[in-house]
Amino acid sequence: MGKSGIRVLFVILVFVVGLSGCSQEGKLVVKNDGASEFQGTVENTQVRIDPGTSYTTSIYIGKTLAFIGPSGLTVPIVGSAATKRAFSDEILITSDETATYRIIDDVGACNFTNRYYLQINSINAKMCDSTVFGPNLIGQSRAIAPGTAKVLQFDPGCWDILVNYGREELLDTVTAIPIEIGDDFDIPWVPGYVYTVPTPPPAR
Amino acid sequence: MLQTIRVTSAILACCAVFSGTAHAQPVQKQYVADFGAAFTQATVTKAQTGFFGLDISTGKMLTNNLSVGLATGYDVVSFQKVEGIYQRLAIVPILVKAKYYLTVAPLMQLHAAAAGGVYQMVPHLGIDPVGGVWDSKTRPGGSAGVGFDYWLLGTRGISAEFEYNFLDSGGEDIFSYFAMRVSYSIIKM
Repeated sequence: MGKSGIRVLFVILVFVVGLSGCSQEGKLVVKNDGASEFQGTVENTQVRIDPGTSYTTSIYIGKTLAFIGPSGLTVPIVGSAATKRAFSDEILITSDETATYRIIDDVGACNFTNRYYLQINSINAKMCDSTVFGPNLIGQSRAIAPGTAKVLQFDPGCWDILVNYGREELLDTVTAIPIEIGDDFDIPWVPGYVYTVPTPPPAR
Repeated sequence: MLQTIRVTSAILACCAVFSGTAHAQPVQKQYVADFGAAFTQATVTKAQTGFFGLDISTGKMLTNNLSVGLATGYDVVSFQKVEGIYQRLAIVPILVKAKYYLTVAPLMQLHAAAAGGVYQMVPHLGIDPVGGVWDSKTRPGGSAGVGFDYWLLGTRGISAEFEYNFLDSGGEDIFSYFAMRVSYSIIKM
């Protein structure tokens, strides 16, 4: 085979390789900037991301030929955290680039533990300056059994909590709970529990 | 004498190139049937490497250069083996196809083709749709292509063609795939 034959073969090879379609990939980084663990799915893959850490994955976009074909892919991110309300969002991944999605807190979380021997039937909450309690936060027929806990999410502000436990007429309140976005605190509840704002450790 | 031969050869070559039709090529009122095998590849989101397509088309020469006919086939445009399962997306085009032939030498022609019709999607996929296609459906679309034909043995020929197909998948984007096809052609009176 002469030089010209080799050149023709080379051109044919380049042509065929070019026409076989180019794979497009991008990178996705999901960074948990919140105060609590994120649980959910990233492009239909179950993930758990600790606070301050990231989940990185390659996203296969598809095939292109020259300028025809996809340049990006929208990837769904679904999930929640104690300090982040359940959400469903999307992020566009473009070829050969890294896209970063940041999970940011939008609520405060209270880990409400039932330390009493009777079950908690319902929990209602209201802002401190309001007179009317809102709907049941633990849902119908989802009692909190003795020794178990339920995470409650609150918007920032001062909150009062009304607890119905045991029989219908047994009520208790926990008042003046200051909550900020990103707070993640425990209430080991028993009747008569008084919430006290935790004091920060002394600065050294 | 040598000069005369050269001039005569050049004139004959020009006649062959610009005559529009030469012997052993399809002419008006004849029928041409193409039997093709192709590598087919989808160019959409989540498309895997393409696979194989088999196509057939027939056309009637309305003039010495233009034919109109029907084309169909079975094109596997995305193919992947996952845990022993062959996930694939096949497409069955049913098209009205027009071809314009341009003679470049006594046995050689270039052609350009355009087609329109419907595409039947036949998906066998996992959790990821390919180009937004998840279920079986029939969608409108069309194609454009260029090719090269070499006619031999009077009524037989072989051709190579590059064809791009576009269709409305009903999803967010236009679905597209290409075919690199080699065909065996027969001319019928």
